[in-house]
Amino acid sequence: MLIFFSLEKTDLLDPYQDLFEIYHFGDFSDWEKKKIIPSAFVIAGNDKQYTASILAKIRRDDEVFASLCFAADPVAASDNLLLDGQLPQPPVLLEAVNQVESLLKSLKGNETYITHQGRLIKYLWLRPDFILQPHHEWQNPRFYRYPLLEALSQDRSDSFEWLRNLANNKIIEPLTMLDRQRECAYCRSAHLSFIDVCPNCQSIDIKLQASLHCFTCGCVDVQDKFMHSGTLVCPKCHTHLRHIGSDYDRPIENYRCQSCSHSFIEGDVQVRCAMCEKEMQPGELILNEVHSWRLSDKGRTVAFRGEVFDLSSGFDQLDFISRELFLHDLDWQMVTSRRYPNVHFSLFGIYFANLPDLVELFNHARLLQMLEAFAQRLRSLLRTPDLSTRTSENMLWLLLPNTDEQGLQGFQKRIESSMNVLLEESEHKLDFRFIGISSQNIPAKESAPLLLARLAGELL
Amino acid sequence: MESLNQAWSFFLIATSRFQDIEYVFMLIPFVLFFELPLYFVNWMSVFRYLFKKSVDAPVSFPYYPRVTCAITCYAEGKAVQSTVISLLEQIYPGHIEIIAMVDGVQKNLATYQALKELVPVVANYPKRSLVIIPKIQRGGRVSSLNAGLSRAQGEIFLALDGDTSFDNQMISSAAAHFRNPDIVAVTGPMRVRNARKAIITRLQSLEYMLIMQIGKLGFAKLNVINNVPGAFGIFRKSFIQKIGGWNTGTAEDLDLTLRIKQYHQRYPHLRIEFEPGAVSHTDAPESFKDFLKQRLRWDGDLWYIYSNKHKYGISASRMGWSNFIFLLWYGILFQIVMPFSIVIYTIYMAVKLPMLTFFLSMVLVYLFYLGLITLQYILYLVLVSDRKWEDCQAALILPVYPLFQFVSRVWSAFAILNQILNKGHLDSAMAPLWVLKKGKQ
Repeated sequence: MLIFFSLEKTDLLDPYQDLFEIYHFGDFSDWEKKKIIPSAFVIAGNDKQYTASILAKIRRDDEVFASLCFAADPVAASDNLLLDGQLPQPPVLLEAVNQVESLLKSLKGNETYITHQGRLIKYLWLRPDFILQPHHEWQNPRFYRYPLLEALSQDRSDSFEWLRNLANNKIIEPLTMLDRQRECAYCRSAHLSFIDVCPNCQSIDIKLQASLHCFTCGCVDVQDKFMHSGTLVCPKCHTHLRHIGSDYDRPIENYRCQSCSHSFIEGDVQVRCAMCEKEMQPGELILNEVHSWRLSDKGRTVAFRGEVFDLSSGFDQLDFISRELFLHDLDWQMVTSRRYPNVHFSLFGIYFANLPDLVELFNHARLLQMLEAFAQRLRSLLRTPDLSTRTSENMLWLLLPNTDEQGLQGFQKRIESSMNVLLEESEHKLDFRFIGISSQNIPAKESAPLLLARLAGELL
Repeated sequence: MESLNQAWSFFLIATSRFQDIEYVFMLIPFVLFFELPLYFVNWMSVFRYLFKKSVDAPVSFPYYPRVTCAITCYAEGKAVQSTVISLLEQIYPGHIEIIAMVDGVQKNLATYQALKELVPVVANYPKRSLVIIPKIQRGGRVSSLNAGLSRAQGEIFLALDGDTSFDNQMISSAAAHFRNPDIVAVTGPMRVRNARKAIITRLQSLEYMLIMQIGKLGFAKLNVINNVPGAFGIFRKSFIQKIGGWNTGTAEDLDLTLRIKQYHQRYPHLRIEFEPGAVSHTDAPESFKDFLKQRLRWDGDLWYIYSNKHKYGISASRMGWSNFIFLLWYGILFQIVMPFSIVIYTIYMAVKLPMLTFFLSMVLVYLFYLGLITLQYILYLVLVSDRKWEDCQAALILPVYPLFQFVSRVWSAFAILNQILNKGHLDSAMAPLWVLKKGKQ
């Protein structure tokens, strides 16, 4: 089904009648009353303002914001970014509509798309090769804007701020950098002017001043003092200066402040914002990189799995230390136990082989709850000096000082029993593996990174 | 002692007794006939100029036309920067457009790079601009100059060498002459800036002072200047364009000067001026071998120009009588005939006279020249020199100078012979062989 917006009656869509059911509306409000959800919208007419207003209303609508939209006539450049292009031939249009419909089926959790992040993900999901482009506009305080983001957020948020959040959450990823600009630290405007000022009194009234150096007597003074009826004559020794390099040279080219007579080589640069009229130093300016963006892998995962969260956050209460520190301490323990045979320690690894797949089986929240419960139990098993780290999302390592072979076996038994609870909860679907080694069994030549790599290899 | 007396009496007899034809013939071509009158006329003209200058009230008119400086660059490298900077430094209120043509740029990237480094410097000088023309195909000096001429926007066109720099009043003092519409070309004194490097450069420096500076000043005031040098020529652009720019072949500067002179009969008011205030500084060859190489080309080219290119151009009906006589006298007799007469005369004397007498005669000739040079040098130092203190240092080299003059005249004879027999003009560093061959042979 096609919804056709046009102020005049045209026979433009006649060739499409065989493939699509077509409804014609003159005004957006007419359609709003009926709320027919179409496969695509088509907007015709040379009135660019009319096209722009219809397009903006579609993209800001709660239900049809992600629908395909085509224009039959050329539109303004910024509106082009909201469109899916010019109206294609009927078979091509049909293909595009079908593709969107199949993608729509694989989209999960329609209820989440009321937030504007959800809207963006849905919009990008339905258009697999879509690139989110900024639009350059010199009148814009920041020179660039993202018309699509403005429309999808229903103008409620600053689109650059939103972009930053999306990028931090890795929902979208940058494609090409289009510009790097400096912006006012107060209002983020990019309309800046740079002025050289006197470093002493900040006056802008400064002038370049050439100085000459007379080789005969060493006199250095401003050039004007040397000028004498069309020739250069030293004001001190009255030598006629004829040739640069042999009679005189230019030792300094400096500036002179007309307000305070201060002489200087390089003026300070001051930045003035044209929007908020505040003054600042160039170093205070904020660097803004303007990119084009596309949906990232994580964004796509969100689209077909629904809301995402970081699975490993379930282990957060284990107070992990960094991998480097862990390796360092492990090395130290290995060296110590080699030197003093009565010192023992053990290394214990836990690997969750199918954690990402479990997301499919269980509700995210439930899986997270399970992992948190496990972490809590694990925590109660650990003693204060025990150290833990995580080398990947599903690989945990525990360093147990003063634990020999026997102690390690005891630890493994206890952890297995607590794991059983988790196993039952997960309906025996959780695939986890343990590996443990005590200091007596570690070969003398092994180092900490090698040991970890070897044990991890055995687990896989 | 006896032999010295003998030589002296010989000398006296020769100068007093004209019937002693044999010896008179030996001495006349040497000094009396060729040189002394030339020096005399020249100095009279210099005196007249100096007198007029001291009597006339100094006037300067606010005439500052746009000036184009075309620098022909080849393998100068970094040295080209001092040329450009000395032009940027000119005290001249008008616009100075600097066009630097780098011939065979792929071979001379260092020169090209040195020029490019100056582009940001030019922005610091008001009313100065720099255009760099990289010429990929090497075409020689003439093609560079004509390329510069076609791009020039100034009323006045300066043809300059990449290894020459200028006093900062050069343009203002030279440009002032062009207010007079009869003036089509101006040149000025050339000084040797590496005079202190070696004895040979010191000698050349003295030669430049006495021959180029005094000689050109005197001849220019008589309007018979012999040559506007290629390293430092200032022209009215419209005139140069009208006569078709520079012509293929070596010694394009002498060729152009002669072509300008050939308009004298048709336009008797045309003048080539010499401006003592427009001073340029150039590098002279620093080794004796390089000096001989340079002179081989210069002196050989004289023959090439006079006998080939301007065979029919040297006539009173084209140049006017004064230029014609001057050219016969200075150009043909002094520059072409005299070197040979010196060689023949010396050989003749060596064969004819007893060894000691010959030797002492040579000493006398030497002393005569030394006296002549010293007199000229003192006059130059007192009356003309603009850097008296610096020029004083040349006094030390005066005793060697007559020998240098003798050697360079003998070499000049060799160079002319080389040109006649060998077509030496095709062996020039100024342009590639294939270009030179296209010229009139």
